[in-house]
Amino acid sequence: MPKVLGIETTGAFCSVALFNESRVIASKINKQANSHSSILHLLIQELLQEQHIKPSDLDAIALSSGPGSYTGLRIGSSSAKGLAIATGAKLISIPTHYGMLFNPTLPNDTKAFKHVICLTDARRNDVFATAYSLDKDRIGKTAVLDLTDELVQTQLNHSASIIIGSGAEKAEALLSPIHLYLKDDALHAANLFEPSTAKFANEEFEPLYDFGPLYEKEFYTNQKVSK
Amino acid sequence: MAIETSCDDTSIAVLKEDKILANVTANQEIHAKYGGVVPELASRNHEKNIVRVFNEAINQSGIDQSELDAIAFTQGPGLLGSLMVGVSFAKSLALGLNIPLIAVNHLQAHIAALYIENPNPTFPFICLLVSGGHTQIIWVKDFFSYEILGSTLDDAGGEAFDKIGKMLDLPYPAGPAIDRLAQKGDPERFKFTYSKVPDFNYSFSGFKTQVLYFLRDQEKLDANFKASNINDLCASIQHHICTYLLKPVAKLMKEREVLGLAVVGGVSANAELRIEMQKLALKNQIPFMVPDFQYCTDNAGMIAEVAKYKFEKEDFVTLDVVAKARF
Ligand SMILES: Nc1ncnc2c1ncn2[C@@H]1O[C@H](COP(=O)(O)OP(=O)(O)OP(=O)(O)O)[C@@H](O)[C@H]1O
Ligand SMILES: [Mg+2]
Repeated sequence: MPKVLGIETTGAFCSVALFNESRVIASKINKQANSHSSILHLLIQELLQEQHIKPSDLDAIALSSGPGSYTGLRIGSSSAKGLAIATGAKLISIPTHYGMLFNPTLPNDTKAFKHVICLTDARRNDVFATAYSLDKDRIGKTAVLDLTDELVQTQLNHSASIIIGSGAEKAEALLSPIHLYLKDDALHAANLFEPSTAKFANEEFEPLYDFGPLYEKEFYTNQKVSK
Repeated sequence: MAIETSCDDTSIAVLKEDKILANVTANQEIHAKYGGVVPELASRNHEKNIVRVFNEAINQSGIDQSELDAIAFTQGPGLLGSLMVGVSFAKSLALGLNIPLIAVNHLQAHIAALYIENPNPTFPFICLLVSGGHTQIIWVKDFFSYEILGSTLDDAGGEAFDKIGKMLDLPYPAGPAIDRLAQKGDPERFKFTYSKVPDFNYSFSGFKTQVLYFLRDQEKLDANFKASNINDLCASIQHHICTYLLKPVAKLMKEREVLGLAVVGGVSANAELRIEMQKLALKNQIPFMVPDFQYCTDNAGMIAEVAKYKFEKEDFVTLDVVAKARF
């Protein structure tokens, strides 16, 4: 049975999980905000040791690949690539918002809603936003939205949606009550089980030398371009 | 294997016994456009380049990754976002290959660059470290035993080259360009006053301002002043910086019994600085040391050199180690 290690470092908490093709074997999360760089490898080490698995036994690394905190994205991606090189495991990339759709707190009965909108923090008033149909098909692209913008508010209030992710709290304060807000931080490496199992079966792997996280936001600097 | 990502160069080296088998560096030209390193861009590029640099280093070394005995990385000082990429990648390699992890101080590594070609230096020696971020006079008592006797109070020597180069419309980093243009110029043509600071310290900000006003005044008289005098300007500025860098070193040599003189860091690639330091050593009849060019600016070869000693001492770190911007 294939063994897959899931890594989630895009939000405030860092988590890891171990799957085979039929279930989540074990997972770990650290709820100390922004300590990914010291914690991630310890979590992986503990998880593997407890399950009596050697790193070289891993068949794939499934990475929650963004958008999210830039530092978090890079810690996750550099770590996943290093581990894949060292162990010969394949790299699977799961866009962070897509992974959130597999969060177990999502209600089963969703008939009253047309979409799921994933919102995660993008600093200032901004959130990263991706809309999905109830069948988990992505609608359009991931966007960076300013939730205080009235046009954005009008658009989001157009039809009732389930709004999930770290941006849901911000959204609840600004949008209409027609939505269902799931303010639980929906990020967890265990959510990567279903989508990564599907990608593993289809052999949808990333080339290590070419892979990069999904920043989803143009890089911006105050530094002037000199003549 | 050693990994260096402290600033804007992604570098990986492979060392076997005493020999550096590979020292591969990917430079990030993109920062030239901004006239200085843009931290977020540097971090993104490290993340993007690191696997290619790894593959290239393994290929050049001719070894198989399964033969690696330890993974070393630059822990700092440097840009935090840049360092984190190297640290994360290094930890994963160590964990995945089940081998020890070694944390290296970037400044120690600049000094250790000397030992690559001089495995048996005479101690104690004076080491002048001049780079993009640091300017220090270091009293080296043994391989890894030092005392910092002087530092810059503001800009680093390399930074002075780069900032003044920017005033002269030279692309970033301007140090190498100034070095090149200075070869054709007159170092005595323009004179500037030396900033006086106590003990063995330096200050470059006054000089920077002097040059700024000098250029402004000259351009009022001749709009083309910079372009038509570029060689003499570069030669005079370089001469000023090098002469200034040597002053406290010479003073220290009078006060202590010194058995060697060395210059390290990116600016040690500068021709005039190398020659003047060598002359000073010759005058005092002591050996002079400077790293090979490829080990002067940021590179993983020098990180590997420190790692070699730490490996012998089994000076390893655990997986919770983090990057440090400052030491
Ligand atoms: N030939 C040269 N003449 C003068 N300066 C040079 C020369 N070559 C490189 N430099 C300068 O060296 C600096 C880069 O050195 P290095 O790579 O060691 O610094 P850094 O890594 O940016 O700083 P630090 O090592 O302090 O963190 C730049 O400022 C550059 O202009
Ligand atoms: Mg350096």
